[in-house]
Amino acid sequence: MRELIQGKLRLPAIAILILVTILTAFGIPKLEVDTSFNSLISKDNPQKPIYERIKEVFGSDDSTIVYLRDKNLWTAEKLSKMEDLHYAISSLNFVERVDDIFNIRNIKGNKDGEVDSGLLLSESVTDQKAIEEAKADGLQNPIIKNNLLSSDGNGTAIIVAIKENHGNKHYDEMVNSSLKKIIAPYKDSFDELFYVGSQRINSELRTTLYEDLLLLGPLSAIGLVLATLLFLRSGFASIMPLLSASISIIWTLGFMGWFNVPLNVLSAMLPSLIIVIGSTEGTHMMATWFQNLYSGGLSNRKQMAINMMSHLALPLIMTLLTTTLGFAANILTSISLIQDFAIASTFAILANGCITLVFVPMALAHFGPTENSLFKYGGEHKGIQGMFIRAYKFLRVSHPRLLIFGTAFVCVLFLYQALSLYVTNDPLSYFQKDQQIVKDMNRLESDLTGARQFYITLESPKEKAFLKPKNIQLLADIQGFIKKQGAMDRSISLADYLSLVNREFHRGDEKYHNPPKRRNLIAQYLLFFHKSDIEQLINHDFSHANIIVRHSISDSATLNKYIKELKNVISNLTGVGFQVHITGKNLMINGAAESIMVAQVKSLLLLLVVIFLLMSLLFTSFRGGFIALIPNMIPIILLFGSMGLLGIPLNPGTVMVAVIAIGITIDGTIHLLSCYNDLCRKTSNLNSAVQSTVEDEATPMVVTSIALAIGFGVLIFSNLTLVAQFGALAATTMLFSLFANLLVLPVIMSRNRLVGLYQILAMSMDRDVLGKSPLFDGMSEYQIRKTILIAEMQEFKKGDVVVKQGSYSRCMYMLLSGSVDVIRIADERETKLTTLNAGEVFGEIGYIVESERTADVRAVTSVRMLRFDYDRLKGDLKFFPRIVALINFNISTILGKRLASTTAALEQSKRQQ
Amino acid sequence: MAAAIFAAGGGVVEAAITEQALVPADAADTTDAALILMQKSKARQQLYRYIFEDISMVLEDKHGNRTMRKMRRFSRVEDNNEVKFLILFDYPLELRGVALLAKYGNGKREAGVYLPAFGGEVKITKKPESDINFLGTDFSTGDLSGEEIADSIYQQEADQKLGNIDYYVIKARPKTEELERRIGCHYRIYFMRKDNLLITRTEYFNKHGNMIKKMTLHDLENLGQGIWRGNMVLMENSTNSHTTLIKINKRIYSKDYVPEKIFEKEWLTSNRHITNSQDELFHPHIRIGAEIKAEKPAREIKDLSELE
Repeated sequence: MRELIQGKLRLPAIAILILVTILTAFGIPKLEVDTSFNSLISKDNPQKPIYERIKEVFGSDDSTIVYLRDKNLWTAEKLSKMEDLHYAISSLNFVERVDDIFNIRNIKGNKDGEVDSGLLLSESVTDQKAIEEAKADGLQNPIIKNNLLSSDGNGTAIIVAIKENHGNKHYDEMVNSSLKKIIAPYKDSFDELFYVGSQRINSELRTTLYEDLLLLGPLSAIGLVLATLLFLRSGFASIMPLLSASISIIWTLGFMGWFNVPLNVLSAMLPSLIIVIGSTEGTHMMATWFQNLYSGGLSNRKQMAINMMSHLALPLIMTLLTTTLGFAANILTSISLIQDFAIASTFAILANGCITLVFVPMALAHFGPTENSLFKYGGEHKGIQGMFIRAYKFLRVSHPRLLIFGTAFVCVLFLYQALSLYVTNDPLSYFQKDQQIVKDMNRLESDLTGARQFYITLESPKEKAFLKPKNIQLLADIQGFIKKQGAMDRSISLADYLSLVNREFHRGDEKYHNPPKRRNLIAQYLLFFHKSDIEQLINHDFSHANIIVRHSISDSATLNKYIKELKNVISNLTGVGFQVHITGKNLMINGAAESIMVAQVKSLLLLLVVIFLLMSLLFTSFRGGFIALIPNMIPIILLFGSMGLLGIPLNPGTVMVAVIAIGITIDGTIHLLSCYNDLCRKTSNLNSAVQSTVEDEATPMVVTSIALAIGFGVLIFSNLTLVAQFGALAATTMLFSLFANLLVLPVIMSRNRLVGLYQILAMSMDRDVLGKSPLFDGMSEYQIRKTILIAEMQEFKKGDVVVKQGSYSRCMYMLLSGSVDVIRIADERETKLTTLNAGEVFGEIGYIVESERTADVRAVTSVRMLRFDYDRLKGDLKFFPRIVALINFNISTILGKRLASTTAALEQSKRQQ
Repeated sequence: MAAAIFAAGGGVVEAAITEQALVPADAADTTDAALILMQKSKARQQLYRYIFEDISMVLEDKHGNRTMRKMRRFSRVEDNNEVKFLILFDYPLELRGVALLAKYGNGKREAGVYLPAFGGEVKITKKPESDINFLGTDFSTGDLSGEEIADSIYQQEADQKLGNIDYYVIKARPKTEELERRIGCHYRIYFMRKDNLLITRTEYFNKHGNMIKKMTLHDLENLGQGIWRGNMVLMENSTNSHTTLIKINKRIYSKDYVPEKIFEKEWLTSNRHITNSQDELFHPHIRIGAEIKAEKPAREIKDLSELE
């Protein structure tokens, strides 16, 4: 780092930067976009192979529904148009089958016992009477009514089954654009005409993703610039993060291109995240730069940059690692959508961090700003950071308990609210409610049965099992329960078709609208259907039967609850004779919601454990790890509570907020604790150290948090609810974390002492001198370093009086460097008793018993010494019991030796007298 | 009866047939030429008034799963030109005794289905023409009832050669909307062999010009005396990739095999048609109690010009 700042490695570093940027830029054209539903399904889902097998037999459950409504639908003119549309759709090569009123079979019996079986509407019907008859027949047929035909008969659906995509990456777009093109000329022919289906959803997700990518990145950049200008009043501080973010975006997109990590709906956030989160390191550096500028003035840019980095390097690396960890924790999920985003974002944050850590100090060393209006006032902090500082002072001094217990109470309250949190993974919920596709879906579902569907498949090992009346009745019973459950719109099975024929064979008598009771009659009724009429309901040898269930439930938790209930009931109804599968793409997507929840819990726990261990290591005690966790837990509890309170679901977007927020919040925690530890060494008053810490860190923390909140906040302008909810929640959580870090953590800090591992490692120590000191007798080097860090460090200039004869204080000193004279003053005559050098201890009597100092101690050279304050060390006993015990033991030894030598001196003096 | 599925294959081979003999060189109107061809072809196929067929039917879905059915088919043409059909299902056992009864001619159409498991009555179908997949097959009742030449407008298209065989190609379009519904398609294309006037391939199209299904005759057998028959009929449905194959195991032209009373509803509802053994199953005369007498063609045709 020093070499980079001083310019020795500047050119190679810039060369590497340019080279990597060019290399990665070549990967950008290789970028793929994946908005498919498959990316929402858990890769570990055991249902997937079963689903594929069932789909082979009963066809795809993935349908597009073309919806038409017209008050004059049942006229020759309109029907002719609709028929044209039917054939136009059927002619598309990706269409597997089309079901509508033109090819649905109708069975109709009359009072005379006559039965007709045939298409509801034949080709080219123009006779109005025949048309009206067909409409009446359709409304009379329970399989058609509300399924293909609305209850008033004026709304109808063309159900289009789309062939499976075999590797065409642009399949959904192709299907969507073809359907759009086919339907467009007919728009004016009907009052309403639209279509909904997975291809439209996927395609519109893709379009929205592109729009978001173009919109959100620049918005975040503007937000960041404004926030930085507002709080740091520096153009340099605004531009640097943008520069590094721009390079990081190229690197990230290139990385995704080269390593086949596709862009998905969550990727819309990537530029914003890079700009916003990536700016935090830069902001910390800039704030420190300005503070140094304010406290020391501009001496030398390079030296200032070196000083800044010696102070910030380790915390910055740590915070970079923890933020990266926050994003990386999401890789644990089995859902490609989240996993791909986690990989991309982890790389992005890491890349941006590296670029910032290397190039911002270099830039500062050469072009760093030399003045800043914000830091010129010389008085107390102003603005939001000033508000936090004043709030902290007020709460710490007057109401620390109120703050702690108030926070605890709020946390409990929000935890309770978090219990009502639910998970959803419905792709349609990713869109804003006012978007046309959502309106269309709602319109369709208000008129016809839900567009979402799943299968209940009963498999018997015996051929012709579903020619048995009891098994057909079983299908009817399951459907009966579904109806009773009241959650699904409708279900269709072979039992419905057989019931219909049975009714019509009995002159349309409703009493007979139930499955036949004899096996042969079942087989003979089935002659009225072509295989293609019932191929979605029964397999070729009648061993497997399928119930198609349609619904309009978009909330995964609710759907999963009903499915669970359904499974239990079916299991009781079927007994052991059947294998039962409840499956469907829609179900797997919604079922993945549970995977999301599990992955979220795993990621959170892993992250918390890792952070706890890291912080314990960083601050050399588990207490440190625990203290660091508190301000990170608070925003998460508040986040989940808010989501529960506001009814915002956990979805693939919002689910990531918690881990990402921890990754960011911990940055502030590390900065605060590091600063506090440094300040603790300069004062014996911990409260004063905490106060100074808050004052020092308020500006960078407020700036980064507000900038993060603004940067995340702009995501609410996304066209995707998923992204907007993520943005709003992440922004709010940033403010929660500001509260937790700047108000709660300092109160906890002031009651604790920590020593940073980085301080221990970074400390320069004269082993020869200190190793021989009686105070460190029996201590390892690590313990010596830690002891030094626990103690208060004091520096004196030559001639300074360290201890004044006649004064009272309960502290002792150990010389780290330089030498002091011990001078006794009696009768206005000074007698030099001794000269003490590095490693020697003095003032130990006053440490043990508060007594009058018997001599002056004056610095002969400039000296550095450790001051061991009795009260402070007593307090530290609970934080560092082993070390304090060793110190006390060694002090006892020193005192013992001193007593022995004093006694010997007295005896010798007596003998001389 | 160009498109009648079970009778397809009956006909007389006329060695002397030439294109010139059928279509005058100066015939400017392809419609007239097509009509003449259709009339000639039909005249051949209705040479037998009483036909009994022992049939196997294989239904195959798009996955290649097959379902087998066995049935007997009886048809007779009464003196008043009324055509009667009866199809009796014998296999699978669940379907044994299911009967489809149809009577056409003289401006009347009537069809009914008898389900022994339902019992009691033959359910009359008011609009048999509306069923494009009769009894779950890929054949429509229109295919079953056969072609009334007066119902369609024919147009001769350019001749085609498929393999080594030359064909007349005739486009047939129903004259009215009702007829279109009955036939189940917007128009058909017939491929009529030039050598024997047998239609061996029929393609069905909807009004958008999409082929919806295709029927082909296979295993053509020369019965001698110019009579040919197709022992297999394959209907391939383009809309759902389903096929129905009909294999005619035995065909007997005999009045004794097709007694009049089997077309009576009462005979069906008495369940006398439901046989109990293989022997009875394929020898219905035993139950019907008639002697076997092979029928000869109604008349010998020496020259196709007789038909013109």
